Amino acid sequence: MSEKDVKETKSEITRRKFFLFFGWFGILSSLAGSALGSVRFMFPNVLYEPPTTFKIGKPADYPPNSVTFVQDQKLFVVRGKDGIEGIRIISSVCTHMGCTPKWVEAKNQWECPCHGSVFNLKGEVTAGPAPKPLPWYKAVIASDGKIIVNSKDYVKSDYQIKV
Amino acid sequence: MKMNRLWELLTNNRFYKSIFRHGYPDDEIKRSEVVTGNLFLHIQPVKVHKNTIRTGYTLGLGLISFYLFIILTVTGVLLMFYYIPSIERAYNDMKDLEFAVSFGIIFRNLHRWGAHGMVAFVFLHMCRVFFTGGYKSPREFNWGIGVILLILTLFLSLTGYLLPWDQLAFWAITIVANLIGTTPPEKIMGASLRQVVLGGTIVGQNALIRFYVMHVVVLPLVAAALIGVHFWRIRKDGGISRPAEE
Amino acid sequence: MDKKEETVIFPKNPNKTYGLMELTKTKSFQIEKGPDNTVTSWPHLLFRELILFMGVFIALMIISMVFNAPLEEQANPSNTPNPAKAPWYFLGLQEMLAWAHPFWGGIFVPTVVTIILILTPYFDTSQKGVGVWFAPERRIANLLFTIFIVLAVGLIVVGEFFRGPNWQIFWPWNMPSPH
Ligand code: HEM
Ligand code: FES
Repeated sequence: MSEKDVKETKSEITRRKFFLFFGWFGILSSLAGSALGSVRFMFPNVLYEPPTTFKIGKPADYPPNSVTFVQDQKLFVVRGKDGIEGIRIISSVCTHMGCTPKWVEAKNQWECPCHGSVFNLKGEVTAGPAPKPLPWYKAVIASDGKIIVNSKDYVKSDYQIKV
Repeated sequence: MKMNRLWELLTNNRFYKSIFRHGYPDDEIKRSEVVTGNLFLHIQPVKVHKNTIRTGYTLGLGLISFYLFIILTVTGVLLMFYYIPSIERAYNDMKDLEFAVSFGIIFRNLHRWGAHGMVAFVFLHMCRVFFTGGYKSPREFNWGIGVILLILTLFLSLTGYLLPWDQLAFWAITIVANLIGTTPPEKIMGASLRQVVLGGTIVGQNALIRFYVMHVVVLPLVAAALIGVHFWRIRKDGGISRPAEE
Repeated sequence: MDKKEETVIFPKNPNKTYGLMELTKTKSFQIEKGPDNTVTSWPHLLFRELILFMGVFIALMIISMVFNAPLEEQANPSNTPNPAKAPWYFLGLQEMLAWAHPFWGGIFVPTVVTIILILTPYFDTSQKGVGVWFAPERRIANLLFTIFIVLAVGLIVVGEFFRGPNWQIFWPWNMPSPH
Protein backbone atom coordinates (compact mmCIF):
# COMPACT_ATOMS: atom_id res chain seq x y z
CA MET A 1 0.00 0.00 0.00
CA SER A 2 1.31 3.43 -0.84
CA GLU A 3 1.17 6.29 1.65
CA LYS A 4 -1.69 7.90 -0.21
CA ASP A 5 -3.82 4.77 0.14
CA VAL A 6 -3.34 4.70 3.90
CA LYS A 7 -4.49 8.28 4.19
CA GLU A 8 -7.55 7.59 2.14
CA THR A 9 -8.60 4.59 4.19
CA LYS A 10 -8.25 6.64 7.35
CA SER A 11 -10.46 9.52 6.30
CA GLU A 12 -12.92 7.33 4.49
CA ILE A 13 -16.43 7.47 5.90
CA THR A 14 -17.44 3.86 6.12
CA ARG A 15 -21.03 2.77 6.29
CA ARG A 16 -20.46 1.82 9.91
CA LYS A 17 -19.11 5.28 10.81
CA PHE A 18 -21.98 6.92 9.00
CA PHE A 19 -24.61 5.03 10.95
CA LEU A 20 -22.71 5.53 14.20
CA PHE A 21 -22.61 9.27 13.65
CA PHE A 22 -26.26 9.56 12.75
CA GLY A 23 -27.27 7.21 15.52
CA TRP A 24 -25.57 9.35 18.15
CA PHE A 25 -26.73 12.51 16.48
CA GLY A 26 -30.32 11.26 16.60
CA ILE A 27 -30.15 10.19 20.23
CA LEU A 28 -28.48 13.38 21.43
CA SER A 29 -30.65 15.74 19.44
CA SER A 30 -33.87 14.10 20.59
CA LEU A 31 -32.64 14.38 24.18
CA ALA A 32 -31.71 18.02 23.68
CA GLY A 33 -35.05 18.69 22.01
CA SER A 34 -37.02 17.21 24.89
CA ALA A 35 -34.90 19.14 27.37
CA LEU A 36 -35.64 22.41 25.58
CA GLY A 37 -39.31 21.50 25.46
CA SER A 38 -39.34 20.83 29.19
CA VAL A 39 -37.77 24.20 29.88
CA ARG A 40 -40.36 25.97 27.74
CA PHE A 41 -43.08 23.93 29.47
CA MET A 42 -42.14 25.58 32.77
CA PHE A 43 -43.12 29.04 31.50
CA PRO A 44 -46.90 29.38 31.74
CA ASN A 45 -48.67 31.11 28.85
CA VAL A 46 -51.79 32.01 30.79
CA LEU A 47 -51.60 33.55 34.26
CA TYR A 48 -54.50 33.80 36.66
CA GLU A 49 -53.20 36.80 38.53
CA PRO A 50 -54.88 40.03 39.68
CA PRO A 51 -55.31 42.60 36.86
CA THR A 52 -52.80 45.44 36.62
CA THR A 53 -55.50 48.05 35.94
CA PHE A 54 -58.02 48.49 38.73
CA LYS A 55 -60.23 50.96 40.60
CA ILE A 56 -59.50 52.07 44.14
CA GLY A 57 -62.55 54.13 45.18
CA LYS A 58 -63.36 57.84 44.95
CA PRO A 59 -61.02 60.74 45.68
CA ALA A 60 -63.24 61.70 48.61
CA ASP A 61 -62.21 58.43 50.34
CA TYR A 62 -58.74 59.88 50.84
CA PRO A 63 -58.60 62.88 53.18
CA PRO A 64 -56.31 65.84 52.40
CA ASN A 65 -52.75 65.72 53.69
CA SER A 66 -52.70 61.95 54.19
CA VAL A 67 -50.98 58.77 53.08
CA THR A 68 -53.32 55.76 52.87
CA PHE A 69 -52.22 52.18 52.42
CA VAL A 70 -54.41 50.21 50.01
CA GLN A 71 -53.83 46.63 51.08
CA ASP A 72 -55.27 44.63 48.21
CA GLN A 73 -53.56 46.52 45.41
CA LYS A 74 -50.27 47.07 47.25
CA LEU A 75 -50.01 50.84 46.92
CA PHE A 76 -50.21 54.08 48.87
CA VAL A 77 -52.58 56.89 47.98
CA VAL A 78 -50.79 60.17 48.74
CA ARG A 79 -52.90 63.32 48.93
CA GLY A 80 -51.63 66.82 49.57
CA LYS A 81 -48.07 65.97 50.62
CA ASP A 82 -44.78 67.44 49.45
CA GLY A 83 -46.54 70.66 48.41
CA ILE A 84 -48.64 68.87 45.78
CA GLU A 85 -52.34 69.18 46.43
CA GLY A 86 -53.77 66.43 44.24
CA ILE A 87 -53.87 62.65 44.56
CA ARG A 88 -50.87 60.59 43.64
CA ILE A 89 -50.43 56.80 43.71
CA ILE A 90 -47.15 55.16 44.72
CA SER A 91 -46.21 51.46 44.82
CA SER A 92 -45.91 49.76 48.22
CA VAL A 93 -43.54 47.09 46.94
CA CYS A 94 -39.99 47.78 48.10
CA THR A 95 -37.68 47.91 45.08
CA HIS A 96 -35.09 45.94 47.02
CA MET A 97 -36.66 42.55 47.76
CA GLY A 98 -40.36 43.25 47.66
CA CYS A 99 -41.33 43.74 51.30
CA THR A 100 -43.98 46.33 52.19
CA PRO A 101 -42.49 49.57 53.57
CA LYS A 102 -44.41 51.29 56.36
CA TRP A 103 -45.42 54.98 56.21
CA VAL A 104 -43.97 56.85 59.18
CA GLU A 105 -45.97 60.04 59.55
CA ALA A 106 -43.64 61.61 62.13
CA LYS A 107 -40.66 61.45 59.79
CA ASN A 108 -42.58 61.88 56.54
CA GLN A 109 -40.97 58.82 55.00
CA TRP A 110 -41.46 55.12 54.22
CA GLU A 111 -39.33 52.61 56.10
CA CYS A 112 -38.87 49.03 54.91
CA PRO A 113 -38.77 46.38 57.65
CA CYS A 114 -36.72 43.84 55.74
CA HIS A 115 -33.35 45.48 55.19
CA GLY A 116 -33.96 49.00 56.37
CA SER A 117 -34.42 50.94 53.13
CA VAL A 118 -35.91 54.42 53.61
CA PHE A 119 -37.88 56.30 50.93
CA ASN A 120 -38.66 60.02 51.14
CA LEU A 121 -41.84 61.79 50.05
CA LYS A 122 -40.71 61.72 46.42
CA GLY A 123 -40.23 57.95 46.64
CA GLU A 124 -36.46 58.32 46.43
CA VAL A 125 -34.11 56.09 48.42
CA THR A 126 -32.48 58.00 51.26
CA ALA A 127 -31.01 55.03 53.13
CA GLY A 128 -30.60 51.28 52.87
CA PRO A 129 -29.93 48.89 50.01
CA ALA A 130 -32.94 49.55 47.73
CA PRO A 131 -31.52 50.14 44.22
CA LYS A 132 -34.40 52.18 42.75
CA PRO A 133 -37.04 54.67 43.95
CA LEU A 134 -40.60 53.48 44.54
CA PRO A 135 -42.50 53.97 41.26
CA TRP A 136 -45.49 56.32 40.95
CA TYR A 137 -48.45 54.89 39.03
CA LYS A 138 -50.53 56.63 36.41
CA ALA A 139 -54.11 57.17 37.54
CA VAL A 140 -57.16 58.98 36.18
CA ILE A 141 -60.76 59.50 37.25
CA ALA A 142 -63.09 57.07 35.48
CA SER A 143 -66.54 58.02 34.25
CA ASP A 144 -68.13 56.66 37.45
CA GLY A 145 -66.00 59.05 39.53
CA LYS A 146 -63.64 56.35 40.83
CA ILE A 147 -59.87 56.47 40.60
CA ILE A 148 -58.54 54.00 38.04
CA VAL A 149 -54.89 52.97 38.38
CA ASN A 150 -52.55 51.36 35.87
CA SER A 151 -49.72 49.73 37.82
CA LYS A 152 -47.74 49.05 34.64
CA ASP A 153 -47.58 52.72 33.70
CA TYR A 154 -44.98 54.68 35.71
CA VAL A 155 -45.10 58.46 35.97
CA LYS A 156 -43.02 61.26 37.57
CA SER A 157 -43.47 62.00 41.26
CA ASP A 158 -45.33 65.25 40.52
CA TYR A 159 -47.96 63.58 38.36
CA GLN A 160 -51.29 64.14 40.14
CA ILE A 161 -55.02 63.89 39.84
CA LYS A 162 -56.36 67.37 40.57
CA VAL A 163 -59.22 67.39 43.05
CA MET B 1 -32.61 -21.44 78.42
CA LYS B 2 -36.17 -20.39 77.71
CA MET B 3 -34.81 -17.64 75.48
CA ASN B 4 -32.74 -20.17 73.57
CA ARG B 5 -35.83 -22.29 72.94
CA LEU B 6 -37.74 -19.26 71.72
CA TRP B 7 -34.91 -18.22 69.40
CA GLU B 8 -34.76 -21.79 68.09
CA LEU B 9 -38.52 -21.77 67.47
CA LEU B 10 -38.44 -18.45 65.63
CA THR B 11 -35.42 -19.11 63.48
CA ASN B 12 -35.34 -22.83 62.87
CA ASN B 13 -38.09 -22.95 60.29
CA ARG B 14 -38.39 -22.73 56.55
CA PHE B 15 -39.91 -19.26 56.57
CA TYR B 16 -37.10 -17.59 58.54
CA LYS B 17 -34.45 -19.49 56.62
CA SER B 18 -35.94 -18.43 53.31
CA ILE B 19 -35.23 -14.83 54.29
CA PHE B 20 -31.96 -15.09 56.22
CA ARG B 21 -29.87 -17.84 54.74
CA HIS B 22 -27.20 -17.71 57.44
CA GLY B 23 -27.60 -18.69 61.06
CA TYR B 24 -26.61 -16.52 64.00
CA PRO B 25 -23.51 -14.62 62.80
CA ASP B 26 -20.97 -16.13 65.17
CA ASP B 27 -18.15 -16.84 62.73
CA GLU B 28 -16.44 -14.84 60.02
CA ILE B 29 -18.27 -16.44 57.11
CA LYS B 30 -21.70 -15.89 58.59
CA ARG B 31 -20.71 -12.37 59.57
CA SER B 32 -19.80 -11.62 56.01
CA GLU B 33 -23.09 -13.13 54.87
CA VAL B 34 -24.97 -10.66 57.07
CA VAL B 35 -23.60 -7.90 54.86
CA THR B 36 -23.41 -9.52 51.43
CA GLY B 37 -26.79 -11.20 51.73
CA ASN B 38 -28.66 -7.97 52.41
CA LEU B 39 -29.50 -5.41 49.75
CA PHE B 40 -29.48 -2.53 52.19
CA LEU B 41 -26.28 -3.45 54.01
CA HIS B 42 -24.18 -4.61 51.11
CA ILE B 43 -23.24 -1.08 50.11
CA GLN B 44 -20.88 -1.49 53.05
CA PRO B 45 -17.81 -3.72 52.90
CA VAL B 46 -17.64 -6.98 54.83
CA LYS B 47 -14.58 -5.78 56.67
CA VAL B 48 -13.71 -2.24 57.60
CA HIS B 49 -10.53 -0.64 58.83
CA LYS B 50 -10.35 -0.01 62.56
CA ASN B 51 -10.06 3.72 61.95
CA THR B 52 -13.49 3.70 60.29
CA ILE B 53 -15.24 2.71 63.49
CA ARG B 54 -13.27 5.17 65.63
CA THR B 55 -16.03 7.37 67.01
CA GLY B 56 -13.65 10.27 67.55
CA TYR B 57 -12.67 10.32 63.87
CA THR B 58 -15.92 10.84 61.94
CA LEU B 59 -18.00 11.75 65.01
CA GLY B 60 -20.75 9.98 63.05
CA LEU B 61 -21.70 13.31 61.50
CA GLY B 62 -22.31 12.02 57.96
CA LEU B 63 -24.32 9.12 59.27
CA ILE B 64 -26.43 11.44 61.44
CA SER B 65 -27.15 13.53 58.33
CA PHE B 66 -28.26 10.36 56.53
CA TYR B 67 -30.48 9.25 59.40
CA LEU B 68 -32.13 12.65 59.54
CA PHE B 69 -32.76 12.38 55.79
CA ILE B 70 -34.49 9.02 56.37
CA ILE B 71 -36.58 10.36 59.26
CA LEU B 72 -37.52 13.39 57.13
CA THR B 73 -38.61 11.15 54.27
CA VAL B 74 -40.85 9.05 56.49
CA THR B 75 -42.42 11.95 58.41
CA GLY B 76 -42.73 13.93 55.18
CA VAL B 77 -44.73 11.19 53.50
CA LEU B 78 -47.03 11.07 56.54
CA LEU B 79 -47.59 14.85 56.41
CA MET B 80 -48.48 14.55 52.72
CA PHE B 81 -51.61 12.58 53.63
CA TYR B 82 -53.12 15.71 55.20
CA TYR B 83 -51.46 18.63 53.44
CA ILE B 84 -53.04 20.10 50.32
CA PRO B 85 -50.89 22.58 48.38
CA SER B 86 -53.56 25.21 47.81
CA ILE B 87 -53.32 28.78 49.06
CA GLU B 88 -56.85 28.47 50.45
CA ARG B 89 -56.22 25.23 52.33
CA ALA B 90 -52.53 24.89 53.13
CA TYR B 91 -52.54 27.06 56.25
CA ASN B 92 -55.67 25.41 57.63
CA ASP B 93 -54.20 21.98 56.96
CA MET B 94 -51.21 22.94 59.10
CA LYS B 95 -53.57 24.03 61.87
CA ASP B 96 -55.44 20.74 61.50
CA LEU B 97 -52.20 18.82 61.74
CA GLU B 98 -51.48 20.64 64.97
CA PHE B 99 -54.87 20.40 66.61
CA ALA B 100 -57.10 17.87 64.87
CA VAL B 101 -54.89 15.00 63.71
CA SER B 102 -53.69 12.39 66.22
CA PHE B 103 -49.94 12.84 66.72
CA GLY B 104 -50.05 15.33 63.84
CA ILE B 105 -48.12 17.87 65.84
CA ILE B 106 -45.42 15.32 66.69
CA PHE B 107 -44.88 14.45 63.06
CA ARG B 108 -44.84 18.09 62.07
CA ASN B 109 -42.31 18.86 64.82
CA LEU B 110 -40.15 15.87 63.86
CA HIS B 111 -40.16 17.05 60.28
CA ARG B 112 -39.38 20.68 61.06
CA TRP B 113 -36.70 20.11 63.70
CA GLY B 114 -35.25 17.25 61.68
CA ALA B 115 -34.85 19.64 58.74
CA HIS B 116 -33.06 22.23 60.88
CA GLY B 117 -30.89 19.44 62.28
CA MET B 118 -30.01 18.12 58.86
CA VAL B 119 -28.76 21.52 57.69
CA ALA B 120 -26.63 21.80 60.83
CA PHE B 121 -25.23 18.27 60.68
CA VAL B 122 -24.44 18.33 56.97
CA PHE B 123 -22.50 21.54 57.62
CA LEU B 124 -20.68 20.00 60.60
CA HIS B 125 -19.93 16.89 58.52
CA MET B 126 -18.34 19.10 55.88
CA CYS B 127 -16.20 20.72 58.59
CA ARG B 128 -15.14 17.28 59.87
CA VAL B 129 -14.12 16.20 56.36
CA PHE B 130 -12.12 19.37 55.88
CA PHE B 131 -10.31 19.37 59.21
CA THR B 132 -9.28 15.72 58.80
CA GLY B 133 -8.13 16.26 55.19
CA GLY B 134 -10.72 13.70 54.05
CA TYR B 135 -11.31 15.59 50.79
CA LYS B 136 -7.88 14.86 49.32
CA SER B 137 -7.07 12.53 46.47
CA PRO B 138 -8.66 10.08 45.71
CA ARG B 139 -11.72 11.62 47.38
CA GLU B 140 -11.88 14.92 45.42
CA PHE B 141 -14.97 13.90 43.49
CA ASN B 142 -16.85 12.72 46.57
CA TRP B 143 -16.16 16.08 48.20
CA GLY B 144 -17.76 17.72 45.15
CA ILE B 145 -20.79 15.44 45.43
CA GLY B 146 -20.90 16.48 49.07
CA VAL B 147 -20.94 20.19 48.24
CA ILE B 148 -23.89 19.55 45.92
CA LEU B 149 -25.63 17.58 48.68
CA LEU B 150 -25.17 20.56 51.01
CA ILE B 151 -26.83 22.83 48.46
CA LEU B 152 -29.63 20.33 47.88
CA THR B 153 -30.20 20.20 51.64
CA LEU B 154 -30.51 23.98 51.72
CA PHE B 155 -32.92 23.97 48.77
CA LEU B 156 -35.01 21.23 50.39
CA SER B 157 -35.30 23.35 53.53
CA LEU B 158 -36.13 26.46 51.55
CA THR B 159 -38.87 24.84 49.43
CA GLY B 160 -40.36 23.26 52.56
CA TYR B 161 -40.38 26.62 54.28
CA LEU B 162 -43.05 28.03 51.94
CA LEU B 163 -45.53 25.18 52.33
CA PRO B 164 -47.29 26.22 55.62
CA TRP B 165 -48.28 29.46 53.84
CA ASP B 166 -47.85 31.54 56.96
CA GLN B 167 -46.22 34.96 57.32
CA LEU B 168 -42.72 33.50 57.79
CA ALA B 169 -43.16 31.44 54.65
CA PHE B 170 -44.63 34.12 52.45
CA TRP B 171 -42.03 36.80 53.11
CA ALA B 172 -39.08 34.46 53.02
CA ILE B 173 -40.14 33.28 49.57
CA THR B 174 -40.87 36.82 48.41
CA ILE B 175 -37.33 37.80 49.29
CA VAL B 176 -35.81 34.71 47.67
CA ALA B 177 -37.80 35.14 44.45
CA ASN B 178 -36.80 38.78 44.10
CA LEU B 179 -33.24 37.82 44.89
CA ILE B 180 -33.20 35.31 42.06
CA GLY B 181 -34.62 38.11 39.91
CA THR B 182 -31.41 40.10 40.34
CA THR B 183 -29.29 37.60 38.38
CA PRO B 184 -27.73 39.58 35.54
CA PRO B 185 -28.70 40.47 32.92
CA GLU B 186 -31.70 41.35 35.07
CA LYS B 187 -34.19 42.05 32.29
CA ILE B 188 -33.60 38.71 30.54
CA MET B 189 -32.00 36.18 32.89
CA GLY B 190 -33.25 37.48 36.24
CA ALA B 191 -36.79 38.05 35.08
CA SER B 192 -37.16 34.64 33.47
CA LEU B 193 -35.53 32.78 36.36
CA ARG B 194 -37.94 34.53 38.71
CA GLN B 195 -40.80 33.55 36.45
CA VAL B 196 -39.80 29.88 36.41
CA VAL B 197 -39.46 29.78 40.18
CA LEU B 198 -42.81 31.47 40.84
CA GLY B 199 -44.68 30.14 37.82
CA GLY B 200 -45.82 33.74 37.25
CA THR B 201 -45.05 37.18 38.59
CA ILE B 202 -46.42 37.02 42.15
CA VAL B 203 -46.01 34.66 45.11
CA GLY B 204 -49.34 32.86 44.71
CA GLN B 205 -50.89 29.50 43.85
CA ASN B 206 -48.48 28.78 41.00
CA ALA B 207 -45.51 29.40 43.26
CA LEU B 208 -46.93 27.16 45.98
CA ILE B 209 -47.45 24.18 43.69
CA ARG B 210 -43.98 24.59 42.18
CA PHE B 211 -42.29 24.67 45.56
CA TYR B 212 -44.41 21.69 46.62
CA VAL B 213 -43.42 19.53 43.65
CA MET B 214 -39.77 20.45 44.12
CA HIS B 215 -39.97 19.73 47.84
CA VAL B 216 -41.75 16.38 47.78
CA VAL B 217 -40.53 14.82 44.53
CA VAL B 218 -37.70 16.40 42.59
CA LEU B 219 -35.23 17.40 45.30
CA PRO B 220 -35.67 14.28 47.51
CA LEU B 221 -35.15 12.00 44.50
CA VAL B 222 -32.04 13.84 43.38
CA ALA B 223 -30.71 13.92 46.94
CA ALA B 224 -31.38 10.19 47.45
CA ALA B 225 -29.60 9.35 44.21
CA LEU B 226 -26.61 11.51 45.10
CA ILE B 227 -26.44 10.08 48.63
CA GLY B 228 -26.27 6.67 46.93
CA VAL B 229 -23.38 7.85 44.75
CA HIS B 230 -21.73 9.44 47.80
CA PHE B 231 -21.77 6.13 49.72
CA TRP B 232 -20.69 4.06 46.75
CA ARG B 233 -17.78 6.41 46.16
CA ILE B 234 -16.65 6.06 49.79
CA ARG B 235 -16.09 2.35 49.06
CA LYS B 236 -14.53 2.95 45.66
CA ASP B 237 -12.15 5.48 47.21
CA GLY B 238 -10.92 2.85 49.67
CA GLY B 239 -13.15 3.52 52.64
CA ILE B 240 -13.05 6.43 55.04
CA SER B 241 -9.79 8.37 54.95
CA ARG B 242 -7.19 7.37 57.54
CA PRO B 243 -3.61 8.17 58.42
CA ALA B 244 -0.99 6.51 56.19
CA GLU B 245 0.25 3.26 57.70
CA GLU B 246 3.94 2.52 58.20
CA MET C 1 -8.03 -35.50 40.00
CA ASP C 2 -11.10 -37.65 39.99
CA LYS C 3 -14.40 -36.76 41.59
CA LYS C 4 -13.90 -38.89 44.69
CA GLU C 5 -10.49 -37.47 45.54
CA GLU C 6 -11.82 -33.95 45.14
CA THR C 7 -14.60 -34.36 47.69
CA VAL C 8 -12.16 -35.83 50.16
CA ILE C 9 -9.66 -32.97 49.98
CA PHE C 10 -12.28 -30.27 49.57
CA PRO C 11 -15.42 -31.30 51.45
CA LYS C 12 -18.49 -29.70 49.94
CA ASN C 13 -20.09 -26.88 51.84
CA PRO C 14 -23.83 -27.53 51.65
CA ASN C 15 -24.46 -23.80 51.83
CA LYS C 16 -22.49 -23.05 48.69
CA THR C 17 -23.45 -23.58 45.09
CA TYR C 18 -19.99 -23.39 43.59
CA GLY C 19 -17.60 -26.22 42.96
CA LEU C 20 -13.86 -26.54 42.43
CA MET C 21 -12.78 -25.39 38.99
CA GLU C 22 -9.01 -25.66 38.96
CA LEU C 23 -5.97 -25.94 41.19
CA THR C 24 -2.94 -23.72 40.62
CA LYS C 25 0.34 -23.25 42.45
CA THR C 26 0.57 -19.66 43.68
CA LYS C 27 0.71 -17.87 46.98
CA SER C 28 -2.48 -17.04 48.83
CA PHE C 29 -3.41 -13.40 49.25
CA GLN C 30 -2.68 -13.54 52.92
CA ILE C 31 0.84 -14.95 52.76
CA GLU C 32 3.59 -12.61 53.97
CA LYS C 33 1.07 -10.01 54.99
CA GLY C 34 0.92 -8.58 58.46
CA PRO C 35 -2.25 -8.26 60.49
CA ASP C 36 -4.46 -6.01 58.34
CA ASN C 37 -6.08 -3.95 61.06
CA THR C 38 -9.60 -4.65 59.91
CA VAL C 39 -12.66 -5.88 61.73
CA THR C 40 -15.86 -7.41 60.39
CA SER C 41 -18.61 -4.91 59.71
CA TRP C 42 -21.02 -7.08 61.66
CA PRO C 43 -21.08 -6.55 64.56
CA HIS C 44 -18.40 -3.86 64.97
CA LEU C 45 -19.65 -1.26 62.49
CA LEU C 46 -23.32 -2.15 62.11
CA PHE C 47 -23.96 -2.22 65.85
CA ARG C 48 -22.49 1.24 66.25
CA GLU C 49 -24.62 2.46 63.36
CA LEU C 50 -27.73 1.01 64.97
CA ILE C 51 -26.97 2.62 68.33
CA LEU C 52 -26.32 5.97 66.64
CA PHE C 53 -29.67 5.72 64.89
CA MET C 54 -31.45 5.08 68.17
CA GLY C 55 -29.63 8.06 69.66
CA VAL C 56 -30.60 10.38 66.80
CA PHE C 57 -34.20 9.21 66.84
CA ILE C 58 -34.63 9.52 70.60
CA ALA C 59 -33.02 12.96 70.71
CA LEU C 60 -35.19 14.25 67.87
CA MET C 61 -38.30 12.74 69.46
CA ILE C 62 -37.60 14.45 72.78
CA ILE C 63 -37.02 17.80 71.06
CA SER C 64 -40.26 17.36 69.11
CA MET C 65 -42.24 16.59 72.23
CA VAL C 66 -40.91 19.61 74.09
CA PHE C 67 -40.81 22.31 71.41
CA ASN C 68 -43.46 23.05 68.84
CA ALA C 69 -42.50 24.06 65.31
CA PRO C 70 -43.39 27.70 64.68
CA LEU C 71 -46.50 28.61 62.73
CA GLU C 72 -47.25 32.29 62.40
CA GLU C 73 -50.34 34.04 61.15
CA GLN C 74 -51.65 33.11 57.72
CA ALA C 75 -49.73 34.65 54.83
CA ASN C 76 -50.71 38.27 54.28
CA PRO C 77 -49.18 39.79 51.16
CA SER C 78 -49.79 43.35 52.31
CA ASN C 79 -48.32 43.20 55.78
CA THR C 80 -44.63 42.52 56.15
CA PRO C 81 -43.65 41.39 59.65
CA ASN C 82 -41.00 43.67 61.11
CA PRO C 83 -38.32 42.40 60.94
CA ALA C 84 -38.96 39.73 58.29
CA LYS C 85 -36.26 37.16 58.90
CA ALA C 86 -35.33 34.17 56.76
CA PRO C 87 -34.64 30.82 58.50
CA TRP C 88 -31.35 30.92 60.39
CA TYR C 89 -29.32 29.11 57.73
CA PHE C 90 -30.12 31.89 55.23
CA LEU C 91 -29.56 34.78 57.62
CA GLY C 92 -25.96 35.15 56.47
CA LEU C 93 -27.29 35.76 52.96
CA GLN C 94 -29.98 38.14 54.23
CA GLU C 95 -27.32 40.03 56.18
CA MET C 96 -25.24 40.50 53.02
CA LEU C 97 -28.37 41.61 51.14
CA ALA C 98 -28.59 44.65 53.36
CA TRP C 99 -25.14 45.89 52.35
CA ALA C 100 -24.99 46.27 48.61
CA HIS C 101 -26.88 45.56 45.42
CA PRO C 102 -28.60 42.23 46.13
CA PHE C 103 -26.81 40.50 43.27
CA TRP C 104 -23.48 40.65 45.12
CA GLY C 105 -24.57 39.27 48.45
CA GLY C 106 -27.33 37.02 47.18
CA ILE C 107 -26.03 35.45 43.98
CA PHE C 108 -22.37 36.31 43.41
CA VAL C 109 -20.90 35.41 46.80
CA PRO C 110 -22.78 32.07 47.19
CA THR C 111 -21.86 31.02 43.63
CA VAL C 112 -18.19 31.86 44.10
CA VAL C 113 -18.08 30.10 47.49
CA THR C 114 -19.61 26.96 45.97
CA ILE C 115 -17.14 26.91 43.09
CA ILE C 116 -14.18 27.45 45.42
CA LEU C 117 -15.40 24.65 47.71
CA ILE C 118 -15.80 22.19 44.84
CA LEU C 119 -12.39 23.03 43.40
CA THR C 120 -10.49 23.03 46.72
CA PRO C 121 -9.28 19.39 46.54
CA TYR C 122 -7.91 19.96 43.04
CA PHE C 123 -5.64 22.73 44.30
CA ASP C 124 -4.76 21.40 47.76
CA THR C 125 -3.10 18.22 46.53
CA SER C 126 -0.50 17.47 49.20
CA GLN C 127 -1.10 14.12 50.91
CA LYS C 128 0.34 15.26 54.23
CA GLY C 129 -1.83 15.10 57.29
CA VAL C 130 -4.69 13.10 55.79
CA GLY C 131 -6.68 11.23 58.38
CA VAL C 132 -5.68 13.34 61.37
CA TRP C 133 -7.77 16.04 63.00
CA PHE C 134 -6.13 19.49 62.71
CA ALA C 135 -2.89 18.02 61.36
CA PRO C 136 -0.07 20.55 61.91
CA GLU C 137 1.08 19.99 58.28
CA ARG C 138 -2.24 21.47 57.14
CA ARG C 139 -2.14 24.58 59.26
CA ILE C 140 -2.72 27.04 56.42
CA ALA C 141 -5.61 25.12 54.84
CA ASN C 142 -7.27 24.66 58.23
CA LEU C 143 -6.76 28.32 59.05
CA LEU C 144 -8.40 29.44 55.79
CA PHE C 145 -11.32 27.10 56.32
CA THR C 146 -11.74 28.28 59.91
CA ILE C 147 -11.91 31.87 58.69
CA PHE C 148 -14.62 30.81 56.23
CA ILE C 149 -16.63 29.11 58.97
CA VAL C 150 -16.24 32.02 61.38
CA LEU C 151 -17.47 34.43 58.68
CA ALA C 152 -20.42 32.22 57.72
CA VAL C 153 -21.47 31.55 61.32
CA GLY C 154 -20.72 35.14 62.37
CA LEU C 155 -23.07 36.58 59.73
CA ILE C 156 -25.79 34.17 60.85
CA VAL C 157 -25.31 35.17 64.50
CA VAL C 158 -25.51 38.88 63.61
CA GLY C 159 -28.67 38.30 61.56
CA GLU C 160 -30.31 36.15 64.19
CA PHE C 161 -29.46 37.98 67.41
CA PHE C 162 -28.42 41.52 66.54
CA ARG C 163 -30.96 42.63 63.94
CA GLY C 164 -34.26 44.08 65.00
CA PRO C 165 -37.07 46.12 63.46
CA ASN C 166 -36.12 47.84 60.18
CA TRP C 167 -33.04 45.62 60.14
CA GLN C 168 -31.31 47.94 62.61
CA ILE C 169 -28.53 46.73 64.88
CA PHE C 170 -29.61 46.10 68.48
CA TRP C 171 -27.99 44.37 71.43
CA PRO C 172 -29.76 41.05 72.03
CA TRP C 173 -30.84 42.23 75.51
CA ASN C 174 -32.27 45.48 74.11
CA MET C 175 -34.12 43.82 71.25
CA PRO C 176 -37.59 45.36 70.89
CA SER C 177 -40.20 42.63 70.86
CA PRO C 178 -41.87 42.21 67.46
CA HIS C 179 -45.15 44.06 66.77
C1 HEM D 1 -26.96 14.84 52.52
C2 HEM D 1 -25.80 15.08 52.98
C3 HEM D 1 -24.69 14.09 53.28
C4 HEM D 1 -24.76 12.80 53.73
C5 HEM D 1 -26.02 12.00 54.06
C6 HEM D 1 -23.39 12.33 53.85
C7 HEM D 1 -23.05 11.07 54.33
C8 HEM D 1 -21.74 10.65 54.51
C9 HEM D 1 -21.35 9.50 55.28
C10 HEM D 1 -22.29 8.55 56.02
C11 HEM D 1 -19.98 9.41 55.22
C12 HEM D 1 -19.13 8.39 55.94
C13 HEM D 1 -18.24 9.05 56.98
C14 HEM D 1 -18.94 9.87 58.01
O1 HEM D 1 -19.97 9.43 58.54
O2 HEM D 1 -18.42 10.97 58.27
C15 HEM D 1 -19.51 10.48 54.36
C16 HEM D 1 -18.19 10.72 54.00
C17 HEM D 1 -17.76 11.78 53.23
N1 HEM D 1 -18.49 12.92 52.93
FE1 HEM D 1 -20.48 13.09 53.18
N2 HEM D 1 -22.52 13.31 53.44
C18 HEM D 1 -23.27 14.41 53.10
C19 HEM D 1 -22.78 15.64 52.69
C20 HEM D 1 -21.44 15.90 52.46
C21 HEM D 1 -20.88 17.21 52.25
C22 HEM D 1 -21.66 18.52 52.32
C23 HEM D 1 -19.54 17.04 52.01
C24 HEM D 1 -18.48 18.07 51.70
C25 HEM D 1 -18.63 19.16 51.11
C26 HEM D 1 -19.26 15.62 52.05
C27 HEM D 1 -18.04 15.04 51.79
C28 HEM D 1 -17.69 13.77 52.20
C29 HEM D 1 -16.40 13.15 51.97
C30 HEM D 1 -15.23 13.77 51.17
C31 HEM D 1 -16.44 11.90 52.61
C32 HEM D 1 -15.30 10.91 52.73
C33 HEM D 1 -14.59 11.34 53.98
C34 HEM D 1 -13.43 10.50 54.35
O3 HEM D 1 -13.15 9.54 53.67
O4 HEM D 1 -12.83 10.88 55.39
N3 HEM D 1 -20.43 14.96 52.35
N4 HEM D 1 -20.60 11.23 53.96
S1 FES E 1 -37.02 44.54 50.84
FE1 FES E 1 -37.11 46.58 51.48
S2 FES E 1 -35.11 46.87 52.15
FE2 FES E 1 -34.99 44.85 51.44
